[in-house]
Amino acid sequence: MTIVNYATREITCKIVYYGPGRSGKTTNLHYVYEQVPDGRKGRMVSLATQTDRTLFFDFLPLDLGSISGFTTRFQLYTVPGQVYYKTTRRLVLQGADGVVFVADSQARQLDENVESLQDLHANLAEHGVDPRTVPLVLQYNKQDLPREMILPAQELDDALNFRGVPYFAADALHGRGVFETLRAISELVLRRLSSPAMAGR
Amino acid sequence: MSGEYESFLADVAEAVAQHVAPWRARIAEAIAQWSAAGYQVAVLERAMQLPNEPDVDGLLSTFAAAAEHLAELERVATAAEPALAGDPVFRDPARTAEAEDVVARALAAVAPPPPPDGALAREGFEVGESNAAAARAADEAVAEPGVRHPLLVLHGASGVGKTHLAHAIANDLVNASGGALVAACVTGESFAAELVAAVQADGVERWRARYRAVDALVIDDAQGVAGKERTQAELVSLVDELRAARKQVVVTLDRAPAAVESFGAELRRRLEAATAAALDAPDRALRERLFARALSPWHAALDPALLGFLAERPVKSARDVATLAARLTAAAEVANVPLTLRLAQTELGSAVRAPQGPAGGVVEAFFADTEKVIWDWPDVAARVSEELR
Repeated sequence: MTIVNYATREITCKIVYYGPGRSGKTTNLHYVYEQVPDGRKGRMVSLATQTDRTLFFDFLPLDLGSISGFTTRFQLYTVPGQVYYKTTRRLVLQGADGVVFVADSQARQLDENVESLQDLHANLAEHGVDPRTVPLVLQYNKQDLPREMILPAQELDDALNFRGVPYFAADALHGRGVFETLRAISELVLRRLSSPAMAGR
Repeated sequence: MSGEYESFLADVAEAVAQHVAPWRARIAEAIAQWSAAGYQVAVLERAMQLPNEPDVDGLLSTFAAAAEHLAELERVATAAEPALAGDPVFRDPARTAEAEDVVARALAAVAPPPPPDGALAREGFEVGESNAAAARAADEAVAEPGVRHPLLVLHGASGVGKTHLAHAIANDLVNASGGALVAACVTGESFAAELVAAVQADGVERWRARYRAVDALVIDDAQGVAGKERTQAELVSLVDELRAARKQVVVTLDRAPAAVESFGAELRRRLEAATAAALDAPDRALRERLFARALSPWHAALDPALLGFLAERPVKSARDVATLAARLTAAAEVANVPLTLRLAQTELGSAVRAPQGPAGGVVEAFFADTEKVIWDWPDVAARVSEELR
């Protein structure tokens, strides 16, 4: 995906929130959406099941306005976390400029986190993308839950963050860590614009 | 506005400013501008791929100059061939050389450059010791045009055969190609005059293109451009272009390149670095052959003693041989007798001496003329010659 169009002076970044089912991906987007000033608010598209699970994907367009003369847009997507939506996840992941992996901090969800992370790598590989080259940030969500239910961020990091990418402890429901995560992935994505491999794309 | 959103926005703005290179934006603007004007911008798109900032000013001004040059070429081409208007070749700076060829061909079709003199064939060029090196170089140039002697300088005094040999090279190249190749033969003076006319008519580009189209160029008596700086600059540029395109260039000079005064350093440097072959005054054996060739069409059986007598005369050039042969032929015709040694001795004087004024021939013609008139009595020298006889 072309993230900078110099001819039309547009920057478009596609960021995908990935993770196991019910880890809080849509909650992240909702919180961001609530913080966007009214004039800048696009329409958040959410295709949800009757049980409020994401069926297809959530899409939040963020129009950041003109930055350095470039019309800058961020497109935030979530994927359905449930295992059986693998095809949908792969589709949504296509052309992603950056990925936020939202892990569920609950101890009993550790296996799901690992499985989802493996699924992310597999899907990227299927797109012909080296998973090690994609900007990635980890978010350990639900850190607000009782301590006996969750694993501390450091412990989760030991288990999941073998690439040593930036990670954030979060409580997406109340907004803690949401923008820190978004800021970090944005920085990683934009940083690639000045790297030779991405030059001119 | 939410503080979190505002802070996020500020961070993104900083990242964009830091990582979205302004130089790429400038090139992108140029790409958009030139693309809209219909130009191919592959070279600019390649520049966008560079990991580090190139000389953007230089790149963009070079591209603009190339586009301007293409526009001028299109204008010239269209004037010669209206169907060429809007040809894609005039919209792609990467195809500038091709566009120049298109223009050159269009102009060549409308106003072909001066061709070689067909009468000056290699077969008619007699070779002797005095011009063997030049003839060999010419043959090699024809065998491998633009490669063996890409720039061949033939030098020697007037009348020794430089022009003949140079035109012969051009003729051979054209004939060998079945007429596909184009050769131009122009004197230095004409070249200079054409340039002046082109400048006055604001048609220099057109004039240049006409010569750029050729496959072989002969600049005869190139000393004619001495002291003409602009013409020399054009000649240097043309020679460089033709040589780069592996075309054959032949230059004739009335003296060795190093001896030509009033040539600029650039032209002198090229001529001095070229293959130079001298043509000297014809040696005796060559003179004999030259006389035989010059006289044979008019006189069935030539006495070897006559040819021997003529060859002993120290003529300085092939042109002098032709002049003497014509004179003897005319004398024989007027007297209505075969050309013999005696007639030649009478006509030219028996002594071996350099050809001189018109006296001898006039005398013979005078006495051979049955309608001679007394008041046209020859001058004193002729009378003396007659009395000796």
